[in-house]
Parts: sequence; structure tokens; C-alpha cells
Amino acid sequence: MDCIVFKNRLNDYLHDNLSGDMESMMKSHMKECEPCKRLYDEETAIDDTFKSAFSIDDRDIKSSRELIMNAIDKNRYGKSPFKKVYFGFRKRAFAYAACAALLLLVIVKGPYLSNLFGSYNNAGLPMPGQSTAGKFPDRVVSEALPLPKIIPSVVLWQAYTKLPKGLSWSIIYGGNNKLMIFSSKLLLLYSLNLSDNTGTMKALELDELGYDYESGEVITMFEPSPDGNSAAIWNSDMNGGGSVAGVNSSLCLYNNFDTFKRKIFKRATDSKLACAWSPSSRYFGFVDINGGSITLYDSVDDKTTDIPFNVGNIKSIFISDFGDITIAADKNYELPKGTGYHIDELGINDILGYNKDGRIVYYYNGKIYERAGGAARIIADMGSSFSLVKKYKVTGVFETSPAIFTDGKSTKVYTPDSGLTSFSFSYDPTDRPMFSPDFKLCLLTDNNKDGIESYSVITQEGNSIKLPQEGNSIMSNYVWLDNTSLVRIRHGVHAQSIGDFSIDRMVLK
Amino acid sequence: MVLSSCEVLVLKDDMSLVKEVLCGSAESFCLLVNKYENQVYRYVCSMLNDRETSRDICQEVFITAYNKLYTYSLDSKFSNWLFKIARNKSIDYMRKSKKVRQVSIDDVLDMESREESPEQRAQFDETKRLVYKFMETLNDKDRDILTLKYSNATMTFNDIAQVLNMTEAGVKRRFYRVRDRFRSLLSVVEERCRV
Repeated sequence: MDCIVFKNRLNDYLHDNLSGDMESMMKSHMKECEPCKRLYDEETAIDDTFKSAFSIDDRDIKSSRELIMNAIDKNRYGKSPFKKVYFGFRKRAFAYAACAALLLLVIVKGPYLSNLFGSYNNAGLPMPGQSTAGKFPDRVVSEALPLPKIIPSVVLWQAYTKLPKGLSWSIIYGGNNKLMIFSSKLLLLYSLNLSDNTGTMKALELDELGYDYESGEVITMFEPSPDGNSAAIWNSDMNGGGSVAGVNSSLCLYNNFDTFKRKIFKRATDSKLACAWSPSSRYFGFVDINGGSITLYDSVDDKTTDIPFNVGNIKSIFISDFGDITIAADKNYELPKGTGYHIDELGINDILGYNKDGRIVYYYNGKIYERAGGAARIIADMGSSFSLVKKYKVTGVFETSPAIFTDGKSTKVYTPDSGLTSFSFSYDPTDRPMFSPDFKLCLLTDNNKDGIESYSVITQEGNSIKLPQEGNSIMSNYVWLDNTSLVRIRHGVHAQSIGDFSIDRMVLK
Repeated sequence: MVLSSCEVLVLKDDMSLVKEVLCGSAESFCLLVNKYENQVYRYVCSMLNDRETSRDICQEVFITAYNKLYTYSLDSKFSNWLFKIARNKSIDYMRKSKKVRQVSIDDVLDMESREESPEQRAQFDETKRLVYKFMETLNDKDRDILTLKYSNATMTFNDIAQVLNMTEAGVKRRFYRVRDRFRSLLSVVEERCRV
């Protein structure tokens, strides 16, 4: 073996891709050739570097085996012929359903097949409590949006004729005719005109928002406001050089995609933050989860207030449209604005947020209460069989999803804005329910046999419709754009000139 | 000492265990959890860099795998199917929590090495810092490939290709290109150290 062959086969040798004979030849060549042996050592060192960086000692891993085994239904599978037939059917349910649907389509709509992709079904969506027989849309219409028009911009907005490839894009906001799509390098801001399916797009380089890899900054969280006009962006500064890392938190505001205002808050802390927007997007507040002080920004008056708050283990922060603050920690606390933000301990648990009137809404023992002036009023009674299953998380991540309750058979969702809504499906967090803005429909996720995700929309009464699955949709994600349309991003198909993803709007009509 | 069924050495192959689970043996699923739990955890942890969350996601992966086991096609490797679920769950978590896929050096260093001496520990930390900063510069696909390859010693290129829905040649091409880039970075760092 000569050195050229050795070099050509070295990668395969390193990763066990060679036959036994070739391996022996490689070994014997190294014994004779010092430079090739050195090359091999260098390559092995690179492997070792990566392996060491990714290593986690087995002793550091806490086993979840018991929790997993307790969580599964041990009687799910079995030898009984019924179960075999049932799961055999479920495995091929989609194929059966597709065949049945095709057959039905041929029988019922035979004369209209030529207009298959024509007008929508005009039947309206069912009202709550109304029978859905014959009213649920019999098909979903998927429309590709025309390529977004890219318009020149001020300095902070970069115009792109072609977006870089290889980035993973996620929709992080949908609603109010706006879409925000995010990658590790760019933020795309879409302003949509749904009546004629047109839109404009601006691409914003994240380094303009403080993402500067060279100086050690990374964006750790991106939090759009409820109205989609603003966003809070947290930059984590890793300039500690191995000592203490600091965090620079910045709040960036932009307005209708036309102007760009930026307000930067800096805080010397290396722990996580809890943050929240008020429902109308007027206020934004954040606090270190270990306590210290709460920073409240009023976007109307462009005023920032720092409020001392020396309680730790903070789980969530809620801000009302009147600037009142509630903090959920081991106990719950209210800081009413009118009193100069003195701290009141609240004797209630499971805070669900503020309603539009600025009243705290909370859950207790099967009932939802509204708190006003020290008194409490029941605003929804679900019965004690329901329990709160969707709880708040201890991070800076702001959950915009509603509080979810279940009795094991049906699911109820609550937001202070929309009130209480019931769905007849049983709640399973792995299905990742995503509700339409009016809470009349819910998007659920499923995995097919290849682990690829599929999606269904389900009504309050439990009627469901499978969304079309095309191309490489493993990375697809959806958001509700309004009460009757979903937007989907797909990777690796229809690349054309907007990068390696496409956006579809699906109208449920 | 009497070993519970989960602690008995796993001698059966995955296919047999899956078939047994589908015939009603939850103990066989326990053996699968036992076999793959640490591997899945390492992979999820490499994706998320958050140990507590990774533990939760890891549980979700196995619960989903159990509930959807009837959909698993026996002609592919069980571990690849499991890693696909783990990858989807991790991506979904990042998407839902609106977290940018990124590296917190603090979290990374928090995963302590078992090296004893302060010098070795410092070297270990520095290596991790360098690798994770390098990972930050990669696109998501290249990062996935490196994570799958190095967080689990048993992953072949073919396995990675199956998990990522790519061709084996494509995986190899990207993998070696990334290694070349890292080699260049190392030489720059070494050069600076000498200066």
C-alpha cells in the first residue's frame, strides 16, 4: 500500500468502513510509514475531541425507566385477536381512509371531478353545540402563496433576492395578517393580504439585533408580542472567557414592518428570565427567576420601571393591560400599579392570567375564579372531575397556549380572553394540541410508521380531518393564521428562489 | 440478589423484543428502555443542552414509541426509528419553546467531566467550549450529523442517513467536510497558542 491509497482510505478506516483485509493493510502501512501514522493520530485526536465534548458519563444520567413504565398503558397490546386486528387496522388506517374517501368522492362527486380543485365548499363552520353532520368541510384546500415580494429597506432591513440555504426555519408567530419566520441567521417578517393571497416580506439579519458570534453573543429566546408588532429578543453574551457569563437582555420593537425602534435593557445576570407581554401588547415585563427586580416596559409612554422583588424560584410573570403585575413563585404575589407596586401575597394558586378588565383569573378545585377588589367570583364551573394539566414552566419561555383541563375523556381549555371551551377528545400532551384563535378548532399531531409527523384538525365535537401530507414534511410546522386558516412551512420542497422552504396557507372553509 | 426483568442482561434482539411488546409483554418494552435510555438521553441532551428538559423529552420519546409501536415497520432498525422520534421531539421542543438552537456554554460545562486534576478539567472545559462554538457556526443538518455520530458510538453513517432521511453518501460528504473545517479551526487555534 502506498501513502496516497492510505490517505484516500483513512476516513473509512477511522469509521470502521473497511473490510478486514484492507484494515490489516492500513495497519501494516502505519507501522512502516511515520508520516501516515502521524496523520492517523491527528485524525483520531479530532474524533476524540468531539467524543469528549459530547460525552456524558453514565453516572450523570438519572434513569427515567420507572417513570416511563408507570406512564404507559401496559395492557395496550396483547395476544387477543381483537387487539391484533385493531392495531393492524390502525396501522393501515390512513390507506383505508384514503381508499374510502376516494370511493366516496367518485360516488358522490363523480360529475364534478373535473372541478376537483375549483371552488371551496361553502358550508360554514359549525357553531358550538350545533351538530356538525354535513357541515364540516369535506376537504382542505391548500394554496401556495405567491413568492413574497421583497422590498428595499432601511439599514436594519436587508433585502434578499435569495435566502441562504441549509437553515432550519420555524414559524414563531402567526396572526393579525402577519407571519414571523425564524432561523439561526435571519428573521423573516411577512405582511399578508389574505384577500388576494399576496404579501410582502422583509428579511432581517439577526446580527443587527445583537447576534454577534464573533463577540460571543447568541440569541437565547425570541418572544413576539400578542399583536405581532413587537418582539423581545434575549441575547446571551458568552464573553465570560470561562469565568462568569453575563446576559445582555435586549427588547427590540418594530412597528408594522415599516419603522424599526429598538430599546435595549442590559442586566448582569447569568440565570434564566421569566417574561410576559400584557394581552394588548402595551406592557412587557421580565424578571430573573432568582428574583432581584422586575423590569416593566410601557411601550405607549416609552417608559421603563424597575421594581424591587427579592423572592426567588419564580415560575411565571403576568402583566395586565393596566400595568399590574402578578408573580407565581412558591407563593403567588400581586404588585398593583396604582399602589406604587407594593407587594401583596395572594392566598390563591394556579393563576391563569389577567383578563381584559385587569382582573386576576385563577383556578381552584374545579372552578375558575375572577378576583376583583379582594373578592372572588366564579366565572366557570367544570366540576371537580377536571384537573389542570397544562402548567406553567420554570423558564423564560412564555406559553401563549391556554390552560388545559381534563377529566380523562374530554378536554377544556381556558384563556382570560376567550373563556372556557370544551373539546370531546382526551388530552394527550404528545399530540401537542394547537388551538385556533377562537378555540373552535384544534390541530393535533400524530406520528406515522416512519416517525414522520402528520396533522389533523379536530372540531369541538370530535370530528377530524387529516391535513395533506406531501414532501419532506418532517420539519414542517404550522400556526393558525386566523380562525379558519393554517399556515405551514415545509423544508426541502418548492425551493425556488426563497431559500429551501415553502409556505402554504390552508383554508378550512 | 434477584434481578428484576428490566435488570436482566438484554440478550434478545430488538425485533424480538418489539414483537413481544406487541404481544402484550410490557417487560420487553422495559428492556428496550433499559437498552436505549442513555443513548437517547445523550442525543437529546446534545440537541438541547438542558439536562432537566432532556430527561422530560426522553420520557416523551419512549412513551410515544410505546404508543405508536404498532406503526413501527420491522424492516428498519428499531434504534433508528427511536432516534427519529427523539429528533422530532427535540426539534418540536425547540420550536414550541421558541428557543433558538444554540449552545449555552454554562450548561455544557455544567456536564462535569470525571477528569481528576484541575489541568485536565480546564483542558476538558476548553475542548468543550471550542467544539460547541464550532457547532454554532454549522447549519442544522451538519450539526445533526455530528451530534448523531458523536453522541452515540454505535451510529453508523447508514443509521444517520436513515434518521435524517438522507443518503449515506450525502451524510459522509457533509461529515468529512465538517471535520475538515474543524481541522482548520484547530490549526488556527494552535497557531494562536504558539504566538
